Amino acid sequence: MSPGASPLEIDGLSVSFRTPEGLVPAVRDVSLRVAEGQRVGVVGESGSGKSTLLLAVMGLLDHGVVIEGGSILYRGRDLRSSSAEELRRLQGSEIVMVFQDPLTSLHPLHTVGWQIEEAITCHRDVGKAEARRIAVSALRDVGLPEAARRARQYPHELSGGMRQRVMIAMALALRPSLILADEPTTALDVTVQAQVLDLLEDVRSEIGAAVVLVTHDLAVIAQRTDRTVVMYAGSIVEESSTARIFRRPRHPYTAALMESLVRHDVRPVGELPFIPGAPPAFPPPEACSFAPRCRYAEELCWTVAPPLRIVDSDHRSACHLAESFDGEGVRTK
Amino acid sequence: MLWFLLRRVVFGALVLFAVSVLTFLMYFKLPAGDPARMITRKPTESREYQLARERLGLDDPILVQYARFARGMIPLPGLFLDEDVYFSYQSNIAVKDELLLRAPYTIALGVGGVVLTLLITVPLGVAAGLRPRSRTDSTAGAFVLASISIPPFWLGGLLLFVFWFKLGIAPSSGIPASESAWEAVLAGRFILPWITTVVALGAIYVQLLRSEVSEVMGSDYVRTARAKGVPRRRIVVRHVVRGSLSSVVTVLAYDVATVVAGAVVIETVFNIPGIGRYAVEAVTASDLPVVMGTTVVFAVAIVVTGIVLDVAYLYLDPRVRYGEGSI
Repeated sequence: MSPGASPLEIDGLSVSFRTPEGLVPAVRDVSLRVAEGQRVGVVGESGSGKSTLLLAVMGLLDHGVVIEGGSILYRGRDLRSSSAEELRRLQGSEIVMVFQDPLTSLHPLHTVGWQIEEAITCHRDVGKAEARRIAVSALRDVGLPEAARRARQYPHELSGGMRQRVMIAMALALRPSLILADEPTTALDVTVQAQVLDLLEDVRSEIGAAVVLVTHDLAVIAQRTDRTVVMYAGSIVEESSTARIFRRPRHPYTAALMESLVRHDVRPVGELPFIPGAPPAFPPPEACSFAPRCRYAEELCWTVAPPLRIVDSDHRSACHLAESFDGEGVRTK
Repeated sequence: MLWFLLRRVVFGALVLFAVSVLTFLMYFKLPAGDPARMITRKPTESREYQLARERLGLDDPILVQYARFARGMIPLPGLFLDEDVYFSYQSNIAVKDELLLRAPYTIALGVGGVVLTLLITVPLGVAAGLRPRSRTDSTAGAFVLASISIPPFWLGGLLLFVFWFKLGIAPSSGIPASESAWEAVLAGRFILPWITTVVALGAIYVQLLRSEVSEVMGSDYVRTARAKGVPRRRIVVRHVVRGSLSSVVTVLAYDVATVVAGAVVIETVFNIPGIGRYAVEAVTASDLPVVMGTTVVFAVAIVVTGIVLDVAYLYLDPRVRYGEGSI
């Protein structure tokens, strides 16, 4: 392990689902680099492959989901060629994951304290009492009142927000250096969402970990990430610093996502904007996968698949029209 | 909680009452079951017969006669199965004494059979659930199919035929009167009955664990455990099997209750002098007090099991709570 290497470097990763009809691609040729302490947001519709991407990094793909190619490097170490035991040592201590639904993601028959202690004793050689002490202090760090008493309670005795705090406490108890968060607030009340995200950010910045935050909520991406990755039909279609992307998206899909954002300070007029259609399950290899839904699609888009390329300094886009597209429309030259 | 238990006990008492009334009526009205004839073995005109009728109170109203038996069902020392009413018309031996004498054989059969069943079916079911469509899974499937389709009386007979009659490596059926239950266990007389028990009971455990384990392995909370870096072995034991425990215990409890009350078929096939065979012999001979006594013991075992289970669930699943409204 080289200490200078970045917490996560994915190169050319392809993941497919094995179905009776053959392999269905879920993640296609994805390359991504996460720098030390960086907050990367991955945004896309359901089925865009963003959760599969995280599970692949975590080594938690289900049976029947196969990595077809590419590499996943954690601090220079290739996770794909690591043994199951090497992987296990990293999981839960250095690379952790926060899941979507904290109710189903916690074991219903064990106390939350027990479940946090388990994460600790599986990685550190500490006694039961010491593990309990670390667990309770982790619960206190995530702002759970009466942490010692809460540790003795079962998941069903806690509220949704508290449960997600427990998940975060469990993930961060051992001070990981890479956090993968898969829509951590989707299952929560809107009022609790912001609290939980604030908390995740506080704890994360305190231990200086890098985070990959998967969400379909652009507002969250805009406020809480340094870089933005937009995924569509298993591929990255645009990537840049969050500020840049929101100032000027270079892909019609990103722009359409931003248009669909419902703003609480603007009264909507008429029908809410949306993107018609759904992402294709089998994008044709010789066309842009977004072309069928793209209002700017040209002849070229239907015949040549646009590669992800640098269109501006530190800005990648997979659109033929990226140069002339300014977020509002395509300017004719 | 106390209120809930009280209701369960009252409900159990009602079940006992219903069971006893039905059993009593069925045998009271049976033509072959004249107790006075069974005891005296004399013609109805004989003086002994008339005396016996009088002593047993057979000319009392039916309610009075039932009440005598009902009194013996109250589970208090001195009342329960009291010897004045509950004694065998055939042998004159008190039902209570006979049950105590026979219990060790039934317990040896039941405990050994259930423990062996768990030792074989739990690992098999879990392994099959962990690897669906593997060779272990097909083995488990074959076991389930065999266990469901093979009737225990046929398997028992077959085992005896092969291992005692043909190969001569297993003892024959039956237990000599001089041999205690423990000596019979040491002599290997329970081995074939235990194997028969495993096949008779096993299917449901394998099937239950197979489906529960494969379902739980795909659950979100097992994924969380994997994401925590919990070793696979620990995931299986502390997360997956722990999650299936409630349903296994439910089946197990009723199996234990059934074998305690006497594994009727297996005791008959292997000629084991246990409670089950006692009941069967009494039924065929219309020996009313013994039929009543064994039926009551069986019903009590089932009712008590239900109540014990309800309490056990409180410890097995923290989500279970009994309030005013629960039955």
